[in-house]
Amino acid sequence: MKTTPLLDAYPLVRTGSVEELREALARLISNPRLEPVSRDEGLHAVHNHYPLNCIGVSYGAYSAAIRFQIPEPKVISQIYPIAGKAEVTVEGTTVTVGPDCGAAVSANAAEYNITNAAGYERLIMLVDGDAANAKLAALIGESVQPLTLQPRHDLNEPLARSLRENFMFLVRQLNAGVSLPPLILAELEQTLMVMFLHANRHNYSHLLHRDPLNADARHVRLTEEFIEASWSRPIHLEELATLTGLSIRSLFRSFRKSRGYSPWEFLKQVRLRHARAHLQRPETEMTLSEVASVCGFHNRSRFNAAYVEAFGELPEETSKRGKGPRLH
Amino acid sequence: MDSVRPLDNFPAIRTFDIEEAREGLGRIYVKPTLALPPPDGGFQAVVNECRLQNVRLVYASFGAPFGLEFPAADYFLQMLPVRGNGEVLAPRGTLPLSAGVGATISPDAGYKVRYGADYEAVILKVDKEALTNKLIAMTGATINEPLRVEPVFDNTRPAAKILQQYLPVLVNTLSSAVAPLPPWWEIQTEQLLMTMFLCAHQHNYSRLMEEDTPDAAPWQIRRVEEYIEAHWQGPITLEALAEVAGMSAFSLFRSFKKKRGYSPLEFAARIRAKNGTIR
Repeated sequence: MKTTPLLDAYPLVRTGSVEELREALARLISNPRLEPVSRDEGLHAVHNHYPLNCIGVSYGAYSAAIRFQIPEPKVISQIYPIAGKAEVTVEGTTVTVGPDCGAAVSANAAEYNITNAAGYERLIMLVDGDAANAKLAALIGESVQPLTLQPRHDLNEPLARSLRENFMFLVRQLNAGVSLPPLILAELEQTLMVMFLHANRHNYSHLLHRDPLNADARHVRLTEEFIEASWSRPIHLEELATLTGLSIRSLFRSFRKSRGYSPWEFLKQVRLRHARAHLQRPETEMTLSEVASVCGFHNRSRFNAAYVEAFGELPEETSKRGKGPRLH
Repeated sequence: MDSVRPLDNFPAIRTFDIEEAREGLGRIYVKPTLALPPPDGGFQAVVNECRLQNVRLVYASFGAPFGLEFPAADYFLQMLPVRGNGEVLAPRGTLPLSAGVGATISPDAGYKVRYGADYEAVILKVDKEALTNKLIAMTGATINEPLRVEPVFDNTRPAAKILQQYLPVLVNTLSSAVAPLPPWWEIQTEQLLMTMFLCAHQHNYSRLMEEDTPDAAPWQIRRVEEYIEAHWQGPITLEALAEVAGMSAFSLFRSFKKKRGYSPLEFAARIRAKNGTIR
């Protein structure tokens, strides 16, 4: 039975040539090597792809059996078989993917092979490895080593079903030619990322499900990451509340409890650090007042006082050593 | 196919007794008074309630015609009837309820409801403060006048269809979920729901999310492009782009798409493709 290809409005390649298919896939994933399993079977390959910010939605259909070898793919693959079967081998573990079982492959997998049967069709959610690590770090509240996923992905598990249904919602909308409002698309991408991290087993799974007593630390860490990323602009209390889902009061209480200071004090330290880094840069054309202002200090004397308290010297002194900004 | 009711794994009320039903509804909403008692026999309240952090998904059916009056409260309610008929009597008029024809109640005013015997609905309850915060984060708006949503849910709007198609997906997955849900899963899901809710409804801040907001100037678009070209190796967030452009994320996206034919995030994907990696 021939099914209609998905995501047909976003073609990547239509080809009978293994080499052309390889070239096209090399744009999505590092180092793919392909060979037909049998020279006699005629190949017709279709691959469609829709890129988002840190997730890509890919569809592939292959009329003939092909062997793929992809050492260190550099991007995470969440594989959803649609029709037919394939064997996915990741570092010695082989998973037969089919109606009840998908596969997940880490970005840094040393060995990653797929052999698909003729007529195999699949959807893949490609996830940027760095983005997944950053999201994971934000969720568990500590820095992480690269994510190592367990290859077997049981599609009947509740969270796995939830991830798949959300992913398929996106696929259906793309398929129907709906242009999703960008903010919905961005939020949906975040949702897929969070669900992806929960629905797979990996080296940090246990931390995602740990005792909510650690919620304080997680909220604090998430807030800190947000502040680190947004230090150069005004930050609103509401943003912090939205980010953590906490009331402003409980967020400040969590902060005080686990850090002994408030989010604002943390923001001040981040800004001072950026100011210091800037003052140490010899090539800058900025004046001291401009540096202070860019880093969110609009009052020079307050900037000086905070700076001395943090680093034990005046901004001018740092600047002189770094031959940095002109002294105004 | 009504053998399995939505969210049956989150039972909240199962009773033949109207008083008990009122008590139960008081734990989900604010306790209602009885405006129109049900006839003897036939009343059977089945209410399920899945709690996320600031959003709740409710399923309700009562098996008999009756009416309730709810006082003013601090949440938005979107009623999405699955079958049967009913009506909402709100200060600004009467709104019909039937499959596919929903109504949305804004906080701060009481309202009455009347349900037919076979009325069944899924209800989305969203905390006022959380939704207002989301609106601020999305548009950068200063909120002086409280958010008020058009009570008639116009399901012909494209963004309304998206919410309407997403809710069954969510209800389905929740109906097979095992509580407790992971906290971040809940938080992120409700962020998505609130985004969809704000896009799907007409409200007094809709104009900030629509065509007549000021366009980004060419230099703002160029600054965003330059930022993306310099930062393509890391994740690019909406907030960062809005900050670079000095405008709300929503206006930025819309102008970018209008001027360039693709969104900033699509542009980021192109830069990454050019540099050898597509995601």
